Amino acid sequence: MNSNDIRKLVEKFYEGKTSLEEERTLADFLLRDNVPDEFFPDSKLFYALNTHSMEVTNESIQAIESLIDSFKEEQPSDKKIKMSHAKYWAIGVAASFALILGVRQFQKSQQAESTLFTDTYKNPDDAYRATVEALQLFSDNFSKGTESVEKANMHLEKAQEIINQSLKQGIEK
Amino acid sequence: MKKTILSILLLAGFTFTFAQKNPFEQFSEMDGVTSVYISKTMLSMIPKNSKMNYGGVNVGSFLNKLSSILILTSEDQKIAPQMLSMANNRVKGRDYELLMRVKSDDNDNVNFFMKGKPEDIRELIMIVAGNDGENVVMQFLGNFTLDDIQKMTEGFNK
Repeated sequence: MNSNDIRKLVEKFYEGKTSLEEERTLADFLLRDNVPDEFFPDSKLFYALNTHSMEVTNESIQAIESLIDSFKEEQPSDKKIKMSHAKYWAIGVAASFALILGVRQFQKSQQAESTLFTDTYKNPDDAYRATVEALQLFSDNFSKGTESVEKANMHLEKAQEIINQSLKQGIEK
Repeated sequence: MKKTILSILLLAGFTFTFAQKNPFEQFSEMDGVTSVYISKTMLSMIPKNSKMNYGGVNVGSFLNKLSSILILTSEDQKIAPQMLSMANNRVKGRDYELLMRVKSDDNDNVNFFMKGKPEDIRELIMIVAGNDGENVVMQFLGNFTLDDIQKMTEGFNK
């Protein structure tokens, strides 16, 4: 897979369109040691995401497998499918297990976000000063664009006036 | 069936891990990057008696519509371009629309991107590629309109 393909996959990933298989391919590539400089930020991101990935131990997988196997072993003997108590129990355990894993994963993802993105300022006054400075910087840059548009409009209006006057004079003559 | 259940479990875990991540997070802790993050809670704690009036515009009403402000600044020769590339990658998605592109007198390239509709903007990103090698990424999250932004910027420039 060349850099072009990876670049396309990365773009697709940020757009949320990658399949599970493509995400694995990306992870394989970006978690290598010698990632090209171009993909360094993406590699950092994958590393960050990878450290919070779900850890499923072999014991857990075996436990789930044996539970699922137990579903297969029991075949319906009658035309009517009757679920035994054991089967209900197994489904219950599997569902609980999945729920616990899901909740743990959710807690982990919440923790990761809150630890990485904590408020820079503890004092609201400092936060206010920083906010005003940020808005000022934003406004300075934003107004450079809007002022240019206004100037262009003014020039256009002036040009239109001159054309109109010339046309009038032409008609009067 | 076993495979299906296992795949569902693993897929759920994988997608969960990838959900709700802000790609700018990684830069907030990096050496060579100055980062400022102001949460909605902190914005709501700003004293009401602060001088919120700029050029006749009450900036407080704009702040109330924000859920967070993130500012990343870097002049590190290696990190600054990476930060820029990550920001540009984020706004390449079809959810983002280029609002304005400005080339300043100092030869700084400034791009403004928004996510959402002009009457319902969810994210506003300003990416500054500085001529002197200093790059700035500013991200405003919240729920505001293009009109709110114009009023706020007019107030600051009066």
